[in-house]
Amino acid sequence: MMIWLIVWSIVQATGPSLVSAAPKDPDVINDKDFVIVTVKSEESLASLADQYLGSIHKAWQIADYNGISSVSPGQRLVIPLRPIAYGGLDQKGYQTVPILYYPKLTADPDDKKRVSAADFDTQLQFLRENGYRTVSLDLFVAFLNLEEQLPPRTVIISFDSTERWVYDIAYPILLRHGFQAALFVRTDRMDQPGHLTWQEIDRLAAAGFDIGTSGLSGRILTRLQSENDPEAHIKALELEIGEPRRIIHTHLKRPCHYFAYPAGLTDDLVVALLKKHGYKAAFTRREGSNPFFVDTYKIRRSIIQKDKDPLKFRKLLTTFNSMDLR
Amino acid sequence: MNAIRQLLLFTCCVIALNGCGSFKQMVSTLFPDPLHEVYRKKAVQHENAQELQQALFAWRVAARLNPDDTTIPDQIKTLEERILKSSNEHYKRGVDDYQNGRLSSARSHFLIALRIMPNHKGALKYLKTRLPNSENPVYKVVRGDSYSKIATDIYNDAAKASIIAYFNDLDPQKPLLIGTDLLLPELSPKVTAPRNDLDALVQRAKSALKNRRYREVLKIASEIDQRQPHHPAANDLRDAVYFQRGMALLEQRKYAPAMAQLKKVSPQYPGRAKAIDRIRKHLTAEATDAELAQAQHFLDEKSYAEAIIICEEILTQDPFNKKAKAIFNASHYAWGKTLLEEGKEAEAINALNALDQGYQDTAQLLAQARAQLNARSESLYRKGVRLFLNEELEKAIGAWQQTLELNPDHPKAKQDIANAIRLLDKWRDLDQKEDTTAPLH
Repeated sequence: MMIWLIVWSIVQATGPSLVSAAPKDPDVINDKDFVIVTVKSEESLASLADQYLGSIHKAWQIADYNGISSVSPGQRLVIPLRPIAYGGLDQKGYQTVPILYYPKLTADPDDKKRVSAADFDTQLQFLRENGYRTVSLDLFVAFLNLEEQLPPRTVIISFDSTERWVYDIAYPILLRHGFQAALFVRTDRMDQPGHLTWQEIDRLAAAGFDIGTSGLSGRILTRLQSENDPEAHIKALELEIGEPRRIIHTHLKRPCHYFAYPAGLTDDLVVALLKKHGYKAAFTRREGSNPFFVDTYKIRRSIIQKDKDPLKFRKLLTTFNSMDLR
Repeated sequence: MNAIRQLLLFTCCVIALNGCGSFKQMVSTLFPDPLHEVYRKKAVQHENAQELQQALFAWRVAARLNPDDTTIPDQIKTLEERILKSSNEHYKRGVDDYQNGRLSSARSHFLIALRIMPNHKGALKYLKTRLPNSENPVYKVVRGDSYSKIATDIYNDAAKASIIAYFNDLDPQKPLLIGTDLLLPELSPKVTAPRNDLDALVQRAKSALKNRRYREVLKIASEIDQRQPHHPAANDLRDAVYFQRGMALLEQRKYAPAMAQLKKVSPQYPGRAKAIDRIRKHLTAEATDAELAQAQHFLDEKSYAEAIIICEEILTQDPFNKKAKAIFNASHYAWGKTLLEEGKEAEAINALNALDQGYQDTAQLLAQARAQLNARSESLYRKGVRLFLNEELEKAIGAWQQTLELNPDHPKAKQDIANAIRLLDKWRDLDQKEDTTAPLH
């Protein structure tokens, strides 16, 4: 026994491979697909997510995989660096992402057509209390491309307006509930009286809003007047699609990857031009929740109308489609 | 105590030789990370629950936690093979369902393939680009449907037929199967508006077709094809031209050229099969008429055998062909009569036996032939008797054999031949005995 132990220790001393493979931090095991850590006293789920996954918003992934809601010093954790359930697929079905589109919010609680600030607040409160989380469009598109996974109850909130209510009504309420949103702007309206300024848009972007576009003039792309002359028609489309991307980049110094079809209408030619101009995804106004295999250029959004019935709102929040996938 | 002393000594050796890091490594080998066992169990649980990706992930974590666990690499390899096999099986079933129009089942299988193996490109491609999303209308093909009809019904434009075929990965030239689920692509009203240039061409071609300017129609169809390959209107126009040409030739009784035109028409074109069937019948009748003319010619030339062979062939195909039957009978009758006149009664009987007994005086001729034949055979028999009495046995046998050739049922000839042969044999025996007893000279 004694001889064997001595031989073993000599082998260990002379074996270079094991010595060189030893991690720098003995409490961390690195792998291309995961990291195994021992939680230090100053660390939290958010700080670990920030350190290993690149965003504090991904803290849920660590919590979800390890079946915990917080960490304690000395705890061993496995942090997955890639999704395990791609597309939100499991044996019972697949994840879907509802995207809510608010045409307009109003401060007037008696307005019979538009959603009031109070109703919007109530709806966001419902989302927050029921564990819904908002994500960026980049993350959503990565989910569609099977590159990232999303929190189980993911929802996206969106507006297609440059009117002041976005900044004055929607933004503070969103901020209060800790949600982000996507804003699609008509670039010819910017800096116009009654509309948002580029500075305000920049602030929204800095606060986590995704800034996309709904075209240069907001004209319905499938009904442009120039369609009788094919060349003129394509030129007009190119202008509506390509120009806002350039304008947004000029003002915000951020790329614009997302397009919301005016009136939600599109066709194959419009889609082809969006792809040509480098848009990553585009949004319609067709009701329904989005699975990972939805057409990236025909993403569905449910229009939120003024309605007193909260059940109707809840029905739009489908985040899982049950199906036997054993 | 001795064991503790030995362990302490060993520890000192290890630290002295390798430093503290190696000591820690030794400890980890001797006492594996408890998390390793947790992940081993997790992996097994996931595998049992068919959560293969989760199981694979857990195995990999367990492997990193305890690299000395030599069983894990084999577990991982086996699991990876299982993942590949299972996902491919679901993928194949999905493709089969898709090709047979069972889109809902196909989607399930592609989703399962992706759940098991998220980087299964085939399954992802079908899900993303081929299977319709629920927002897309799906049309189930019913009897009488064609791409053009559906395109007209849905888009108000038959020219969109090729787009439907393209979106469904189907061949627009092949007929649609009833019950097939078709994805109808979303096209805005402006896009679905018919192409003016092609429309104008189609109209021009239709006008030319109306005025039977077939060459012009074919030229326009080629032009349409060049502008938009597989345009169904081009095929329809070509079909119409070949069909109309074929029918016109059919009316002119130019059956072979009519058949050549109709063969160019698409198989599913209405009326094509019926017309081709009609031509086939005409072509057969034409050929029969020519053959009958030839048979008649042989009859006139008294080449009865040739006439009979032609008629027999026709009657095999068409037993009720009256003209063939008439020539057949006339040939047999004339041939039989001629043979009888030439004294070839047996051959005459053969020829006349092929006829109905009621045909002209066939029965009489047959009786005459048989009577002549009997008389001749009797004469030969008597000749044989005379030769026998003159002890010309071999010649007698020859005469009786001729008798039997003419009348195989002759009552005496066979017996007489047998007697003559026996007698000949006795004579030969006696001759031989005489030869062996005679003195040698």
